Amino acid sequence: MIRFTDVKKVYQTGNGPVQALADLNLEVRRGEIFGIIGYSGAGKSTLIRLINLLEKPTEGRIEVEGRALNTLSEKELRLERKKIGMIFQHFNLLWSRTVEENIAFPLELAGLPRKKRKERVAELIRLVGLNGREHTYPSQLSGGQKQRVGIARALASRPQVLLCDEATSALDPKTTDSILNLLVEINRKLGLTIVLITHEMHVIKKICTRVAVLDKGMIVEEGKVEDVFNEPKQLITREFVRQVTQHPSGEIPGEELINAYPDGRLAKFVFGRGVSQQQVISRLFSNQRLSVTIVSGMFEPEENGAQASIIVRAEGDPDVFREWIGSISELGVKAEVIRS
Amino acid sequence: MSQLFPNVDWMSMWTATVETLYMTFVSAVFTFILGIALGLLLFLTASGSLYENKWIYRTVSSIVNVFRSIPFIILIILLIPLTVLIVRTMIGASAALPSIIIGSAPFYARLVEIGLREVDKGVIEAAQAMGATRAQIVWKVLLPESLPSIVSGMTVTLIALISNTAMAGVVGAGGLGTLAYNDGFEAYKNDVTFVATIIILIIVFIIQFAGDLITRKVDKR
Repeated sequence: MIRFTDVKKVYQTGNGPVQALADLNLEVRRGEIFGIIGYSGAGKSTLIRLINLLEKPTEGRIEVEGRALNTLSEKELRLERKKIGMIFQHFNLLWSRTVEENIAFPLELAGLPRKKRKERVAELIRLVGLNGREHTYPSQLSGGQKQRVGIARALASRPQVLLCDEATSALDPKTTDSILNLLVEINRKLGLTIVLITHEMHVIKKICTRVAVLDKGMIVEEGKVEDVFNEPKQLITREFVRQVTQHPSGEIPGEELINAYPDGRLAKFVFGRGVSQQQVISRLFSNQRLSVTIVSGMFEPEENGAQASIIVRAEGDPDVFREWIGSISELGVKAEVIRS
Repeated sequence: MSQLFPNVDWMSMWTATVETLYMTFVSAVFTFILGIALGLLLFLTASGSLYENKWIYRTVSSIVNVFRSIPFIILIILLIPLTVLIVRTMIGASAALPSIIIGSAPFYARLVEIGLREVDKGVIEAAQAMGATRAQIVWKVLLPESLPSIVSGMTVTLIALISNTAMAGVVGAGGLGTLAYNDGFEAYKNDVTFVATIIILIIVFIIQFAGDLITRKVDKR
């Protein structure tokens, strides 16, 4: 679907040439959600702009659907670009146009008659869930709504590929989730291939099928998301993986947990030196009337023993649950009920 | 009225006002068109822009700077040959038009250029990503998105332009400037100068008010 062969990008700056991407080889398959993760300055924004040739490669070949875009004339390139939608971190909507007019913009560029434009825009408004907001100006919308307009606009000319340039980086976590869900929905519904760049691993984890890790202009690791998560090979990948597995304070905040596990009882146990791990673990799982699973666990080795923090989810009778908590705290474990 | 302003001939005051309005209106139309054209040319040929061209940019930019720097009263004199060539006379309201337009358009062009530069680069990039031609970017992105600046810039330019019509009046363009200088100042009739000033102020206030109103109306940011 999208193939980079030995692509190199060098910028000429006042202080001499700067290499943004080096000998890049990459393949994105049809219908997948491909994520590219990297820190700022890694070259990911250059990379995504090479796909629709907003940036021209210094060397190498870029193919989309078997057509080498960097060999096309300006006119042919414009036609090809209509088949590649793009959304942006700062949405890049025209503030002088209403929601409806913004979504109609690419259709207007393509010279579609007014009546057809209106029909298509109505479809798109429904698809992204902006009903009733047709005549609003972008300045009156929230960030999430603006990105929905951006998505509708990008989909207007029925592209085969959608490029997402840090599309959720300017949004709060909740809105990010709703936009990511929308992306998955259109990926499934329309069979759209999505390429996204981000610096947030949870975005990759939530929606991507495959991921490439970009560092200093080179892809240092690439593969299926679960493989990269389970066995990160590079140091930088491990850092990214830690973003999602470990929270800054070493704990998962309660509210997030409650959202992630809408049912069952949740409890947290913290214990350190002087507590027998064996005893704690056996009491955790030995109760026949509770079905217990570990949601999250963290062990930090210390000189004698370890500092441990475990969050578990339990299903069963409330009285049994309370009794069970009590039996574990007897061992010197700090027990906290997150949801009873 | 006649007691307060004994020397004011209201008929000639009215004729002068009409002349001033005529000069203002006609030169405003040309300044607007010329200013937007030059402003676009400056913006589009600047380095890194859609039609980057160093030589055109430098040439246009120098011409604009030169004409913006010449004091208006000197510009009128310098432009006499051109005026005679275009309007075939060097006195009267129409004779003042070329100098007023050439004096105001470069100023407005700079304001338009600044307004265009304020258009979000990301929006231009988005349009390119959607396969827009450069002409479509100019008409459908750059001009509509910079409309508030274009309108408010025109308001500022218009007010400077009115003061130029008055100055042109001193060298025989007619209008309120001529009336205030010849009939008022030269003939020691201060009330004539006073009334002419008041009328100019009223015109300026109306333009400012209307300009602000339109700017607010088109600004959806």
